[in-house]
Amino acid sequence: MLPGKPVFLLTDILIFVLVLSIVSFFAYAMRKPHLRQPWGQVVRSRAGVISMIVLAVYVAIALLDSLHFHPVLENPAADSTEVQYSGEVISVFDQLVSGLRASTEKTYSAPFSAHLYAKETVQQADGTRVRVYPRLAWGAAHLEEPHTQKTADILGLALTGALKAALVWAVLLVLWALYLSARTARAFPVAFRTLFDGRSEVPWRTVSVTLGVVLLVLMVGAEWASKYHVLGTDKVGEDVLYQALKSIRTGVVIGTLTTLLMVPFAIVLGIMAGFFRGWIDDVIQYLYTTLNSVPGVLLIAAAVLMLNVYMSKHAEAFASLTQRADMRLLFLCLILGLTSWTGLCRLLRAETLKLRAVDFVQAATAFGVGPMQTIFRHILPNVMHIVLITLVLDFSGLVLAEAVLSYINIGVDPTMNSWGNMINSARLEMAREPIVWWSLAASLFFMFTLVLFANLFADVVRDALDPRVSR
Amino acid sequence: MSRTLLQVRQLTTEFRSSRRTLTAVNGVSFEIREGQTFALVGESGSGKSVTALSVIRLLPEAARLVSGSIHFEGRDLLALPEREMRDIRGSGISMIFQEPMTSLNPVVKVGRQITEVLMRHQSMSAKQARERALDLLDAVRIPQPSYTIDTYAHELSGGMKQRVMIAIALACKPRLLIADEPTTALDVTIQAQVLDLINDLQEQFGMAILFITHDLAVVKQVADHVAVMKEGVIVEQSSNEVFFSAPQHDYSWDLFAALPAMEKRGKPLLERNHVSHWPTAANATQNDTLQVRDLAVYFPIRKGLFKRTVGHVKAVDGVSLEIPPGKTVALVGESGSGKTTVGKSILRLIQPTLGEVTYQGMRLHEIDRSQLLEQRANLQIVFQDPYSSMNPRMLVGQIIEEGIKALNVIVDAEARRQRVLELLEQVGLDKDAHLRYPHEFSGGQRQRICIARALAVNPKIIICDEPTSALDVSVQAQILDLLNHLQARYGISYLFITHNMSVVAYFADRVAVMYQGRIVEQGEVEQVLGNPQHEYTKRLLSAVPTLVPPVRAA
Repeated sequence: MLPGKPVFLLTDILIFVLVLSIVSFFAYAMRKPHLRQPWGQVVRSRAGVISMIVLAVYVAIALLDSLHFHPVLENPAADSTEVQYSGEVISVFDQLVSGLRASTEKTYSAPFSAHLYAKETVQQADGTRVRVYPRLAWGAAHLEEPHTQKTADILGLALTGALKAALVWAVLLVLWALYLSARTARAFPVAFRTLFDGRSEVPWRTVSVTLGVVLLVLMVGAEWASKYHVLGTDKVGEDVLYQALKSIRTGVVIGTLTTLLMVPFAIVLGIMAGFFRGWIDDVIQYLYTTLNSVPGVLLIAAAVLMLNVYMSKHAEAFASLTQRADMRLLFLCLILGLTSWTGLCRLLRAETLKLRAVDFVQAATAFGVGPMQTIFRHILPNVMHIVLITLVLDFSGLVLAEAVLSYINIGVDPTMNSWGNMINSARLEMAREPIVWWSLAASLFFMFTLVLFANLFADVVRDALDPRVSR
Repeated sequence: MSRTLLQVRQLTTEFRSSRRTLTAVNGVSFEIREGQTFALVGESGSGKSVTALSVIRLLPEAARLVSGSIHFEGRDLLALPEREMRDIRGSGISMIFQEPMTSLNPVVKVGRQITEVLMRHQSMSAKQARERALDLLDAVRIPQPSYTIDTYAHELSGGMKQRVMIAIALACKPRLLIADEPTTALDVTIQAQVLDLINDLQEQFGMAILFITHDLAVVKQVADHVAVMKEGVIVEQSSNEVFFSAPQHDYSWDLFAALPAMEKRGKPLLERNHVSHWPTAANATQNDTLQVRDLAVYFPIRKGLFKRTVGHVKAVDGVSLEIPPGKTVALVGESGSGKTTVGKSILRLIQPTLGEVTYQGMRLHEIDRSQLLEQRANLQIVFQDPYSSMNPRMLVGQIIEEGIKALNVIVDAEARRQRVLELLEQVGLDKDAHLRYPHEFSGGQRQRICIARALAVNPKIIICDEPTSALDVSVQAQILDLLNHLQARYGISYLFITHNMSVVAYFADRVAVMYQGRIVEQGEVEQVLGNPQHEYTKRLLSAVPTLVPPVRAA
């Protein structure tokens, strides 16, 4: 249960609809051998399982970050007996990492540092004033003598984290082996060995090792984050790790919702153009050629600026800042989708043109099967692989597009955490002396990991689904 | 006797995938002598192409040469480093492939592709190479070598491309030419020319040929020595004379038995079939004759910004024919003659430009949608390619059911299921096939499914668009037997579109010969094939390699 009053942001709803449809697609595909077969190939490839595990971590964070609510006010006004809710909107993920969220410093501090990054004048007990690097309010606050104790403490925390990770890992593996042995009716030790001998069809050894590494990174990171600012703090003293983690949702939402919004356009228009030909084809072709000849960035800039004007004129329409930022995010998805459906549409038109002349479609025509039925029964199922390949291939491109757009200030709302906004603010930090590098490094690292594994995954999916790639 | 040129001993080649190992060639041994034509015959999947590719060491990645030896002019090819092997390919052994359309690079001029080989293997200067290329193009009887040398592949016809391929293969005067189904993709008249050409060039250049084919008639014409392959093994090897008069192996006899021919009319091709002769078809009225009158299909050529029609391609230009009930009318012609277009426009899959098709007193091209739906049940089609004619995402049961559903032949779902099972049985497939996907079936089985799909709506006429041309002869025999059987049982008429004259001789009652969109001659099969009147028919018939199957002593 949520510890407060739930808030349903539009993007939350859409992202859960998307998850639901993906889950139901797979439930459906599992029952159809011709659909199951290529996905079996994905699961059997090493790059496939590694990227799936890493992506699952990202998606899990994004989903937790998509359950929003108004938290219960801890100090309610005295004159009320009812539970009161704060006007602030936070997510389940915020609640989980509340330590990180609350632990703000005064300004910049370096990763793992015990002191601020800038000297301040401090009044000492005897009344004299000195300029020192003051201790942080939260980071490494548990240490008496950071200079001597810090290294040992960090190592100790790492060890604790590693032990916890090992424990969780072992439990997971034993559970999984138990499941395998029950399903394949083999003795438990045999099942356990298949997780490591590297001879199984699904590369279980790769799965186990990847899982181990991911757990290690998560656990050690969590241990450290409980005592330090692992990735430092930014200008207003917010934890950079927290910002980078919060940005995951923004990236994932942009990457997935945009395609979700564009796919219906592309499918409907592409198949219509290819199937009906004639004037319908002409109109649709002119439409996407025109759209394609307008620079995408220009279109996005114009749309976002218009939205800004609208929002500032109708400020009362939005209940909270979060809702306003969310609206802008959704709008960005929409406009990105509007500029990017043309590619898929063109592909689908070409494929439909090809399929239309294929014998089985002709056979259906010879039976008097109507155009709508022909499309749904013969054309659509045979172009779906293109749609899926495009979805995964586009994902990483869109995550990067968000970063670029936010960098030039036409991306997501400045109050929203996103890698693009982090990079944008890093522009000034890079010009500082001494240089503040951790914001940029953190956002690049998180974005790089997501995009890299999304690309690896896309490659595997394309190899499995594309009939032109020989197996 | 001449010297041995190529000696292959106990060659075994395997294809390995993560799941299983498939032995494509299993302990094959043979010898080719200088100047000899050695034919390797077999059905698809018998391992004949893999044998050839093993010889020049151009196997696909998944294949591995497991054991055996290959000696070419006394050198062990398997022991040679890849660098020296490259010199052997081209100047020692060269190869021509089945598909002339894809074997030439479309963005490089034809001449360049020949001179490239010459400059690489014979260190000629560009000028010398061009001279030699012109000679070669002349040798392969290309009409205007000095013009052709500067053209691109797409400007040439299929036969011309294959000639260019042969010119490239001959450029360095190889001692062994491997010809992998060199005429399969070509029309018979072109095939005759190319076979002639290969024969002449062999004498001129004095080379040996390893000729790979599935066509026994072609083998008879070209080969000195014949080897029959089945499932990776050579089951029989003998000289041409011996093989075509008294083959030894049962499989060779099966191959001969499966060949359709005029002499076998009225009898099933395969003895497995229990019906000894076909019963005569049920009587029907004149009204059930499909009449095609002056049918024409023009495709507009559009040019310019506003896609103005500047001319027409006359794919079909005034075709008239009749399909009487219970009879088979063959429509014969080479590729591009418009025979498929005729079939499709009868069904209104393509709108004809002019002319009319009448059936049961209705003009098929003028009736409205509901009447057309009714007629759709009477007229069905079976396509050439059994791989593209079924939706890979549908179960076989759903595929067969589609027509029954669309035309409301049977409304009740359970009755429909029963009908599907019955149809599967009729075409000789297991009942559980309806719960499987098309890709689980072989080409012949798929063609049976397609026939079942057409039968599902109880048609009176089935248009068979080269239904056996993608199949092996033994499978072709099965399908022809099945079609014969169905005709006898249900009195169905066929419009049988084909380019294979022996199938026509065996299968059809009437024949219409098409040439460049027109029917040049039609009549009873015996009359047209026995005593052709039109110049083109004569040319076509003389180009067909003939083969009188040997008779097995009882």
